Amino acid sequence: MDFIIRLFISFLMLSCMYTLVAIGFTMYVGVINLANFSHGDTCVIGAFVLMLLYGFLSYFGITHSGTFIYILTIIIFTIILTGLWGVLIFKAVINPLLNSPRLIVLLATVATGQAIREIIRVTYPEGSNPQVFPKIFPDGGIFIKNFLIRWENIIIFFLTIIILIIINLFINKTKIGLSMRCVSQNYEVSQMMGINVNKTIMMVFIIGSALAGLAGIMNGAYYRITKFDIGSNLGIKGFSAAVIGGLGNTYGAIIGGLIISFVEIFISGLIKGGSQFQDLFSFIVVLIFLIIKPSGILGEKTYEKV
Amino acid sequence: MKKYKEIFLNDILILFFLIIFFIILYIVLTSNNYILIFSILFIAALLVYFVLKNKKYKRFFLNLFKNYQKTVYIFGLILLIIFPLFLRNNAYIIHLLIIVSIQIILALGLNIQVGSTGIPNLGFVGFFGIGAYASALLAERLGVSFWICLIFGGIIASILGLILALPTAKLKSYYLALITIAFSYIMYNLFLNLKFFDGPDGVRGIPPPFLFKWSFYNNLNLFGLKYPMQINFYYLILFFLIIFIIISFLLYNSRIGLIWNAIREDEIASKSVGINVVYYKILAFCIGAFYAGIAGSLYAHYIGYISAQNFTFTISLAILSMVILGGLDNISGVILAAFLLTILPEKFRILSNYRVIAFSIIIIIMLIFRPTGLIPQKNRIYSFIKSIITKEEVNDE
Amino acid sequence: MQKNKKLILAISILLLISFVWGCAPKEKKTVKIAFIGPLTGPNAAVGIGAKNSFELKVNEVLEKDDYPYKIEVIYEDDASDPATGVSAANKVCSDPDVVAAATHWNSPVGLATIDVFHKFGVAQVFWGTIHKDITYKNCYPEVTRVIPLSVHSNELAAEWAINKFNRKTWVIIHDTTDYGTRNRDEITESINKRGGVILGTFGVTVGQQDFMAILSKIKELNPDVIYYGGVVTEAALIRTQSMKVGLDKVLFMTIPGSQSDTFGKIAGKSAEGSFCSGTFDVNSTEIGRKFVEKYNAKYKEPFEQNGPYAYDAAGIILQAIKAVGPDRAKIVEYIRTHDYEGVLGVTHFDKCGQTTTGGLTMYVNQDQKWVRWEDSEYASGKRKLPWEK
Repeated sequence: MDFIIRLFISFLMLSCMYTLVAIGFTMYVGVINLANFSHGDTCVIGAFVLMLLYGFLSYFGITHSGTFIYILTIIIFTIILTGLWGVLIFKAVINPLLNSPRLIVLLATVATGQAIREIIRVTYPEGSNPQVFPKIFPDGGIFIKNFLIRWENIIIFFLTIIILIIINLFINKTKIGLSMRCVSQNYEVSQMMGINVNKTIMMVFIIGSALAGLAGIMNGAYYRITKFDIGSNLGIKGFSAAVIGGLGNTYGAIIGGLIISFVEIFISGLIKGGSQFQDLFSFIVVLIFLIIKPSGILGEKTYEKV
Repeated sequence: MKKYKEIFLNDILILFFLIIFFIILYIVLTSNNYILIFSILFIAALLVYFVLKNKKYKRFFLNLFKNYQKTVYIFGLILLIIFPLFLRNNAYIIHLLIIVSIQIILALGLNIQVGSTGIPNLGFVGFFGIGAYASALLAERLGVSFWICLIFGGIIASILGLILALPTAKLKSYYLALITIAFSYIMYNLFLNLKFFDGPDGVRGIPPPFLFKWSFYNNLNLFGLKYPMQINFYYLILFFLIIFIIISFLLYNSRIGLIWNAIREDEIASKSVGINVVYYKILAFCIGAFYAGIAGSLYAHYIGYISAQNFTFTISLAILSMVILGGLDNISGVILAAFLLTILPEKFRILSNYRVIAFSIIIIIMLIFRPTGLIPQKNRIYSFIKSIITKEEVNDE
Repeated sequence: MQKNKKLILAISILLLISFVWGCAPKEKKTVKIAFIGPLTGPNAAVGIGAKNSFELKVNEVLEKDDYPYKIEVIYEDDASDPATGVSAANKVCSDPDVVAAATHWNSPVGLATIDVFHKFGVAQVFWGTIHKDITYKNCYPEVTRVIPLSVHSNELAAEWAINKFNRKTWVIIHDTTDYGTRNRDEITESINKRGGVILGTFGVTVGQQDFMAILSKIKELNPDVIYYGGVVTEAALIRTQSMKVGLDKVLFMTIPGSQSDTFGKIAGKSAEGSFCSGTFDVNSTEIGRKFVEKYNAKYKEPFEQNGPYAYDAAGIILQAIKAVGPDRAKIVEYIRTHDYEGVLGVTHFDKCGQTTTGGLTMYVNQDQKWVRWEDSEYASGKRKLPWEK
């Protein structure tokens, strides 16, 4: 019984990890029709920025006192900085390519992701090595019938749900969200209606990158480790989760995350000798979904306009 | 008599240019002086730029190469064949040229998919790998002759291309990108984990090609001089490279190439004109995969050892960058880009830490400022209005 | 037309000048040796540590005035990739001034390049790699290896856990690279030879972060020993996560791949009491400690587990060149037939170039650092191993 509960908790955690990344992907595809392959690496930027901030502050003697306010402030700072990074990416790479065929932009984001990875590896001291991530979550947890549910599990789980709800509210209830929905439906008409399309797209990048930063922090904090190249794996799994769940629908992100992590945990935990094939099976599942139902589980079938 | 004299002069001129080109190539390849290499390339680039700017020179060169195309090809071919004979003591350079040729074949194959047809295939390395493994395993386990293994490798890769293409030909661009990424990871995983592929140890001792009992691993004796065995592979791969370049040009200039470009530009419009988009996409997959399969087989039998590590996703990205740098669907550009992107990292090993960063940034810059690639490409001339266009071109200048 | 031809003449003269400049007479002949290792890529840390150690030895030897030749070292990167390794090998061997090379950390790269070195007849001293086929499959005369085979460290691991600490039931976790699977096969054999019981074998991917699923399953199996065959990042993560699952009373045994102090850095307190059946402890001898001192004075990157091996590899090559001169064939023969005394002790090669010594050591993790068992506070009894039942 213990075993099943433990498996279930790790299943939920992994889903949350993938979901946090998938939400960003969904936004990019939903609003600008762009598959941003540098999203995963932006998550890694978030993790590294946090480590830099920690190092920076402790250099000046402001050490980690473990208080909630301290941690929260640093996290918020990191998210803001990562959001600013999103602006940089937008201005440097995306803006010039707004009118190019989608293939070109896609390739540009792939190259951007690779550049991010290598720049981190080269500039961060001992960048090729794995880095210890500072402790964010408190030890201990809640005991339920002799079984320990750690604080990190609880925090990550609820954080993911809150983020999902916030993003949905943002898109559906705010003015900026409204302009995003307009741009996603019809680019030209939105411009004609007076919406500043450039600014809207830039907002998407800011929010997407901020989300990525948060995802990277959570990932680093949970595993207590981060490395310059985990972005590509996270990105691909996150994108797969977004696709399976249905691009353009934020709740699809969590469904996709659940499915992919279910396959991985199931294969590793319950099938003998399966653990080395878990990546293989999750990709096969992605492949099957893409072939059978490419619009995803919650995706709406869109009609291509001529 | 005067006409023959003119032709003769122009022939000499072409030969002269080609020889200069090969001398530059020789210097760039053999020198270890970074400054020298960089300055030669820089001067060459400047010269080309100025020639192109000046309409008179541009027309002079273009006419020269257009009217004497056959001469260019024949002389070029002869020089390509003679070139390695000067590299007797430099097996490493010949090795580099072999690797370059294999990369060019791969880039040409990917160019068919990404460049001509607009399919974002980020998992091209899977075809490369299956061609290599199929050929290597057939030769190593069953002792089949290289020539059959080669064709076998190409065919298996095409079949894999067919299998991948069938369900995915209808999908939109980013779904396709994701599927191809997943595909390359799956192939890598299979190569790594399955005992059938000799697992993580890789396949060792792949037998070399044999020509009537003479092994390609033997050194070549020509005119009493001993040549390293790499030269055998050089000629073998050069042969296939030329065939593939010819095929690429033929495809580009044929109806198939035109249809591929139509699909790339506007899929819906193509469908509405009656083009069977799915069929041509599958064709692009299969033909591109065939290129990769043959390249894989040649690679396996040359190096003699392959393992899953040779076929990672990073290699897909490297080949993709060659196609992008060369200009999507620009055959000469792709050849030049593949050459540069293989040789320059080798020559500038001192910068190897920053190589990938430089690559990525170059790709981004190329995509933003010059998506047509390094070598400018003429627009297609549609035969029945050819005469009208050329007349206009002349009048404009 | 005339003006154009003049311009063409001018351009060709320019090019001719560059050509002549490029072919300027080279410097006086020096003897060149090569170092090939993963200077970039996932194992860059190990490669750079080895490169620095190699360089340290070369500079040391050359500083003494009595070395008869001018030595130039060529450093090449194999990026842990067989194709890059073969290119580097070709490049290095094609240079007629190169007389010997010290190579590689990854076995697949070594397996690919031994053919190249054999074809050219250049001596190849391996400071890394563990695959037995590198020395034993073809028994090339050019190949020598100063580092012991993985099969020996696995034997040591099994011996200690089963016979010394009396722990019979095992779970084997390994990564899916050639390194991990090779070690898995070897430890399986060593365990079975001693009557141990293997309760389960699990493969993981390099780069994987979440091991909770398999660790939960392992908790159900309740083994005495968890063995990890792979490199340091995954080892540390598995160790940390195994504590979360409640596997704290288990002997955690690792291999040279995890011998780096990065293990302690990442695993933190969870690392305490883990074991590593590793390679030579450079701090255990006087001459070793001097090496550590000299190294740390000059370089800031740690020398990782292969530093001492690269250091001695340099010594072996330089000793041979001093004795027989810059002659490829003679150097090949000399290295094989002569012992070398260095930081590793006395290195002696068997008939296929494999060293049989090379210092296997059992380490225990104390305060997040790997300490030789004999030197640890656990051996002396001052501390009790945290997992002792």
